[in-house]
Amino acid sequence: MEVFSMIDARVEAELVARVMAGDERAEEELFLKYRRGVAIILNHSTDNSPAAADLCQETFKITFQKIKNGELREPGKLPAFIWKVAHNLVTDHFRKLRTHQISSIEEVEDITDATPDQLDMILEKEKAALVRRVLSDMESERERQALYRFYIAEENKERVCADLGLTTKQFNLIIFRARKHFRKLYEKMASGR
Amino acid sequence: MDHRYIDENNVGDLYLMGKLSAQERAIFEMHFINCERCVEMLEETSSLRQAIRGNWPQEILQPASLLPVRAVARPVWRTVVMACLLALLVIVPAIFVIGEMRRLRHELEEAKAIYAAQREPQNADEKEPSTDQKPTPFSERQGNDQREKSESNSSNTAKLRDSRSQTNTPVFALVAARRGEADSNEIITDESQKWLLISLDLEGDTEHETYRATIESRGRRFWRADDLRPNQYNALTMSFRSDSLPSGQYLLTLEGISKTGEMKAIANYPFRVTKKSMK
Repeated sequence: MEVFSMIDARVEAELVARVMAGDERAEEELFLKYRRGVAIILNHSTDNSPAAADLCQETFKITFQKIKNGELREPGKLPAFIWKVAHNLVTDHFRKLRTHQISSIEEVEDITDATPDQLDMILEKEKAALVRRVLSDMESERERQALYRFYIAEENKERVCADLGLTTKQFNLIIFRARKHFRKLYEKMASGR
Repeated sequence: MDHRYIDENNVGDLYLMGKLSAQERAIFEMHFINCERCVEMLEETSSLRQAIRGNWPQEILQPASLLPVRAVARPVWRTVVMACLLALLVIVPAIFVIGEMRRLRHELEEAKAIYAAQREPQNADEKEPSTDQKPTPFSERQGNDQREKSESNSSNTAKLRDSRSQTNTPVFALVAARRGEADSNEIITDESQKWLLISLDLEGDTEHETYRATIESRGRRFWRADDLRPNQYNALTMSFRSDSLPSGQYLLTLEGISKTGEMKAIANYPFRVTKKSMK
């Protein structure tokens, strides 16, 4: 693991060096490499708020600026650096939300309508119907129960294990299989729709 | 934080559920921010959760949170074990008690039947003198005794009940044969008479307290009874099942038993049995 960490650190350092040198391709590489992870963090931190996408853009903008300004003193710690930038933005975002007051008509126009349009609603309905069909067609009652209790009821794993008479290993296997079967059925039904 | 730890502890799931501590969350975020494997897992889990949330079909599984907690929480195997234990606690003693009751009932029936059978000769004794001891008819011949033993208790009981229901039991008083005399005793029975009584006059013998009676046929002994005691009329009365005496010639020998155990011949009672058909 340590060898891989060292290799990662060296790769990150090279990437940082290229960004500092003004290499736009390096910026793109860095963006593509971290984009999905940052998006998950921001979506999770903002509870899937529409603002997460803007915060993501802002995270990379600030990261590139800071790298170019030489504020990243240890290039090998690039992941932690980006994480810190993203979290600072989230903190600012919530601070602004708490203190924000609409002061002019221009700001009112900027507020986007979060209500989905009709097409989105139809697609959502179709997707919901498909999910219901998939869940109904799942063969294993135990897998269905594990999915429900763990992902929807969000019951503790230990409790579910105790109730179903499972070890944690068996539980993990059931969850793994349940997800696999769900995905397989979903893809099958979606393609045959 | 390595992938093994993450997988075994469902760290990704717990992260999306918001169940990690702030420290765990920071460590995990710094791990997956550039980990393609974990990012894919998180994206898939997130979309799965979003998909099934709100779309769970009510008809296929009652949401656990809506059910009484214990009803959902109790695993099937525990319920089965409890049911088995309860069943054992109830069924085993029940089987034992039922078995014991049957056995006792059976013993009671047998005792009743034996008592009734023992009463019958006594009843007969009120009409005719009888021996004090009920002889076992032909137990020594042709393995009758063994066959009777092998018969079910229920059939014995039935036979004894049959005997109890018989009325007008025929009594045959045998006369001792004198030297040079031809056979003069004849026992004629029909199918309706299941029992018969044989009465022996002791010919004035009073010196013996007990007697031995032996029945032979064609030189073979097939019945004997010892320790027979005469009644108040100085006679011995014995009951037999009619079907135990097939048609033929018989010789009943009576011997007196002294107090010292010496045997003395008293008299011979030859007799012929004839079965009369009901037709």
